Order: sequence, then C-alpha cells, then structure tokens
Amino acid sequence: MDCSEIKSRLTLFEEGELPEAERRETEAHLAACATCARLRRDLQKTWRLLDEIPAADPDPFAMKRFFSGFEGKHRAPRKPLYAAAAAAALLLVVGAGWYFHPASGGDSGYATLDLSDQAFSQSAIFPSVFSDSASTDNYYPDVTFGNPSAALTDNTLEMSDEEDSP
Amino acid sequence: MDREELLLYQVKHGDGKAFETFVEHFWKPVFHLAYRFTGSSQDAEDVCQEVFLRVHRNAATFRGEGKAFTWLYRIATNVCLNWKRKHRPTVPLEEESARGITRDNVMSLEIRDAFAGLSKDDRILLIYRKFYGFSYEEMGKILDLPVTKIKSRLHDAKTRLAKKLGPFLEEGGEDGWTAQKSNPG
Repeated sequence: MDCSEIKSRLTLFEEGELPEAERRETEAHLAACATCARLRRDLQKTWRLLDEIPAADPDPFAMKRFFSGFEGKHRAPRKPLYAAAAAAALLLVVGAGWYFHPASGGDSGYATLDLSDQAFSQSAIFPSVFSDSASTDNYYPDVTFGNPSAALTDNTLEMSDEEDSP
Repeated sequence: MDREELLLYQVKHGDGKAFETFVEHFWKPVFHLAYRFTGSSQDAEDVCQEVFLRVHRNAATFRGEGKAFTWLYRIATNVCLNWKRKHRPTVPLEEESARGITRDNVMSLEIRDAFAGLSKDDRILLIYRKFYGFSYEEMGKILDLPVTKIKSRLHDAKTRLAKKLGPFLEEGGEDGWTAQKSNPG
C-alpha cells in the first residue's frame, strides 16, 4: 500500500467511513509511516481550526427590509402609480414656476429635471436584488457547482515535508 | 410530509403567510452560510435576499419528492457561487478592526485569509460538512454530484486548506496557539 493511496483515504478514515479492511490497513500504515501520520495530524488540526471561521448573526431588521422590498415588488403593484402621481405633481410645480417666472421662455439657466421613465421606474424605487432583470433568469435547478474552470480538479494535493514559504 | 416540505408546498400554492414562516425559519442558517462564504455581513444579507426571492419565484418547481432544505441550499449554493462581490468601501471583518488587533484575532484572521483563498467550491464543501454536518448523500443532492465525488473533493479541499495553513501548522501552530490563548503574554 503506497502513501498516495493512504493519503487519499485520510478524511474517510477520520470520519470512520472506511470499510473495516481498509481501516485496518490504513491504521497499520499510519503506525509505520511518519509522513502520512504527519499529514493526518495536519488535517485534524485544520479541521479544528475551521471553528475560527465566524458566524455573525444577521441584522435583526434584515428580514423586515427583505419583506418590505418584497411587498413592493410582488404584492403592491400600485407603486408605479405613486411615482406617476409624483411626476405629474412635479411637472405642475415646474410648469407653474416656469410660467410665472419673469425669465420664462428663454434660457433661464434652471437645472434640467430628469423626468424620464427610468428616473421613476420601479427599479429606481427598489434597487439591488429587486430589479426586474433578476426575474427573467431561473437558476434552479441548474446547479453550477463543479465548474471545471474553478480549482476543482481530481488532482490530489500532496503535502510535502518541506515547509512552504509563507 | 415534514413541516418544512409542507411549508414549501404551501408557498408553491401561493400562501404568503407560509412564505413568511419559511423565510423566518431559514433566514439565519442561510445568512450563516453566506457570511462564512463571503466574509461580509452586507454581502451575506444581499445573498439572503436573493436566495429567498428565488425561493418564491421557483417554488413551483418543488415537487415534494426531496427535502425542502436540500432544495433551498441548492439555490443558496448557486447564489453564493455566482455572487459577485459588490464594490463597497467596507473592510472585510470590520468588527475585528473595531475591537482592536490582538494576537488571538491575528491568528484568527490568518485562518480566515487561508479559507478565503480557497476556491468557491472548496469553501462551500467545507462549510456544509463542517458547520452544517450534512451527510455525503445530502451534499450530493445539494451540489448535484455523486457521493464518491463529494468524498474525494471534500478531502482535496481539506488538504488544500491544510497546505495553506502549512507554516502555521508546522510551528506547532494550533497547540501553541491554544496555549497562547490560555496564557496570554
């Protein structure tokens, strides 16, 4: 039994998932091979050190924010009416201002107001994940795990005895 | 049909209250997954929002044959793997900076850096196995991979992380660090 075979079994060995014959074989090899025994210790330590990866709790208002955005998107289609009403009111105010202002009709130097559809669109009111573009894709059930371009290969890494440079 | 599957079945049939209960039930575990994956509270919240939006949108595809949580985590996995970190002026692990750098959290940061340096796939595998205790079969369903692949890839992910932590492990690392924590200074 060579070392590479034993190394590839170490996780299953630790988890007690090896068949009895393989478990005994691995145990015997580990008792005799310092290199494999060392890798086993490193993997054990690594597994314990993963406890240092924290789990922060979510903001208590995060769910509320989600539901309020969700309501706007999925349950209250009247939002665009509010935007349209606001746009109409704004037009009236601007129009009145323009009409009564002494310099009206010419190059008054007033800032141009953006009254385009985009400025009053749903996405302007509910940005980020509630954008309409998100509703056109359907990721499920095409799980993308195992993308070959990622670092997942079938190559088993070998831990060398030589210390890696940091 | 268990409670979670029943809830999802009700969501599928347009029950808004069931959707709220489903979200409340799973928000925290999905947030924990996303936080460990992204290392940022804000990104984790964004991931959560996207996940549950897709749950609502895709509830009709749940056929009730499998577990609701494997269906949910499959969506969550997809969102995580496709997640593009937003350019925010935030510093990852900001809370540590606020607390002040100590030897303990410097070590902790090293471990987190090593973890963050792994591929997305490796991180997902390690998180599911370490923190969720999912079986190989459950992980296979979530990640759409055969159990044999899950086993070998999990081992490879652990080995890659061990290699990144190599210098730290070499120094008698964890034991020495544990001793330092209990006897500071």
